[in-house]
Amino acid sequence: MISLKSVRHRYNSVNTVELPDIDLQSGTDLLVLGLSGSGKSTLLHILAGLLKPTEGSYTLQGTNLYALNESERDQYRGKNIGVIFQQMHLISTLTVFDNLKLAQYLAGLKPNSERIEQLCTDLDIADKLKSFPDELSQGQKQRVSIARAVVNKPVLLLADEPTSSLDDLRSNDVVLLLKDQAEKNDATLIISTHDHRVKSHFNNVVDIDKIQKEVV
Amino acid sequence: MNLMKLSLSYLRRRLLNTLLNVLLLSLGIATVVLLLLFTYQLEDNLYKNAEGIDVVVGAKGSPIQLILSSIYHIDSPTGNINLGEAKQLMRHPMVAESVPLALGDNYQGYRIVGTTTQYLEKYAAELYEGVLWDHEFEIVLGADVADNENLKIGDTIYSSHGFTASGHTHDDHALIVTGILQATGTVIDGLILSGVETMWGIHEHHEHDDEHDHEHGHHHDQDDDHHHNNGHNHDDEHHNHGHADDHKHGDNHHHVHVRDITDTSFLSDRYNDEQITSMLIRYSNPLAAAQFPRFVNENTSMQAAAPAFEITRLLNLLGVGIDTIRLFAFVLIFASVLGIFIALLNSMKERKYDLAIMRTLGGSRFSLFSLVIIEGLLISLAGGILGILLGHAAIEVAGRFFSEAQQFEVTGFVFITEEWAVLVLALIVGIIASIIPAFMAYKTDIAQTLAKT
Repeated sequence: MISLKSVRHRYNSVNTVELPDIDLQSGTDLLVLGLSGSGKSTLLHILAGLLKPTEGSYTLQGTNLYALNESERDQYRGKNIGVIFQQMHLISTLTVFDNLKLAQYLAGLKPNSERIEQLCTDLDIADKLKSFPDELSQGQKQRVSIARAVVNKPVLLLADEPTSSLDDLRSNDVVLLLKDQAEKNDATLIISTHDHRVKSHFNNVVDIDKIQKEVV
Repeated sequence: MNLMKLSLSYLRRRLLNTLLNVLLLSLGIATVVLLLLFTYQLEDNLYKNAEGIDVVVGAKGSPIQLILSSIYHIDSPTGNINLGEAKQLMRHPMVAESVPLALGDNYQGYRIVGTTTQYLEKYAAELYEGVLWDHEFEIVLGADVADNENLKIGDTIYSSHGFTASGHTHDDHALIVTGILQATGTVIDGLILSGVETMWGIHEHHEHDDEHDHEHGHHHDQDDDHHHNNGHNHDDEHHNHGHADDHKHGDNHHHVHVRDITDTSFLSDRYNDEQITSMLIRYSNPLAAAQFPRFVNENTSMQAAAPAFEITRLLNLLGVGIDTIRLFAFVLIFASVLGIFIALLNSMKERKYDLAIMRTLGGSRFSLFSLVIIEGLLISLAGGILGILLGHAAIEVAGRFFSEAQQFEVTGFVFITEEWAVLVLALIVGIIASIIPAFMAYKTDIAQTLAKT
């Protein structure tokens, strides 16, 4: 379902990131472990269709993402890929409800309030629909950003360092929440982190530090 | 949820800044609209009121002043002309029609005009109620005069000398209202009309004694109860100044016998030494425009001024002032372009993550570009609409408080097609101000922005 082959991304003449080959079947989760600067973010951005690699191929469900033109790729991403960032990056001028509606709108999908309400009930933030992001706790914000990532029922759910700023208990909760949401939405979950606490939840682990080498 | 709603949410977030920019732009737009409305209504007024008047003949002096006083009833007349001499011009073959005007008095600032019924025909003024004058001291009111002063048929008023309400009052000659005109939208609405002889009648006893004006005033005030004596006093003074028909007028003081007035009665030879202020003349053929004014200016003690020419000259003079204000308006508009530009530019910095997230969620570069342009357009549309409303309000207020505009009504309730152009101008301002920030949004590098967290 996901196939990443001999991908390298060259930022500039001295900084090239080489990424591991990844071949994932649908419904199989993956943990990408690595230290800061190891290329985790590069990998995640490439998987999300946000960064076109200088070399190599990437297909998602048979679609060669980087063969699409930019706005086709934007649309494809909006419909099929959900991304959760370490910082939530909720739109601060919109309510929780409108943040989720915006995700539907930008993906080119029909507005579906029921989906939003059902999702927020599931994530235990239904009473916060009318609140603005500033009025939420960190944990609530993170749930909203998870809701936003899965609202369009993506096939691929990407999370970048979702647990790094959390204590052990909360870290555990968040991973379980992500796995739960991925399962409920039939999405393949890929988490990239330097947080080894997460490791126990995953069968598939790629340790990017071991593969990555600096190319001059 | 759509881009418009998102744009609005951002504008709401920095409400104060948004309102300031809207206000700044609206001031510039209001100034432009004000000028447009003012010049439009001014030109409309100037040309409408001068319709059917080819030339004005009056005392020598400033031709613009003659036009202003005789057609628009602003400014003082250049002086008087001798009726005998004027009559010779009336009979000139190039003159198809001449309407006499005798000015010099007012009631509460409304000018009283001694003229003939041809003057009413010129402005297509019809009676709303009552009848036209056919005796001395009978007057017909313009619609505004009747409205504003609450005058009815049969009411009597006393005129004041000069053109301001504070002038000396001729309280020995009551003027009686016999008719009220329908509103015409021309200067006639603000005038009080009577026969030419009425104006002579009012001034009979003191026409030539300006130097005694004060003394005269006292007489009136002190001797209000002694009209008879008073009348005699005046008669005496008149004698000193050698008026031919003084005796008759002296008798008329008691309002026992008043003269009958027709449109031609003032032409009687016994009035040859009387004076009128000016004549509004229509030519019998277009060629006269070239010859008649020169003939008058060179061969008589009077002057002829053509409204069409003087209006153009007046507008050119005003044009300098209008251009200056217009320049000021464009400075304001330019300032608002900068204001909107800076506001959007700053908000792009605050919003770079929002923009990256929008792309991540499926928004295209063009969506982000549109988002910012929409914000610029919303501000400028609001500024444009507010500006147009402000412009109309300003001219309405100016029209009500600008006292000289009494004969020159300007109103905020006229809309002209050029205002669409002003609205387009406002929208162009919005696009110019937002195009660079919009392009920055378009260029946002998502991966790079998100990697910086």
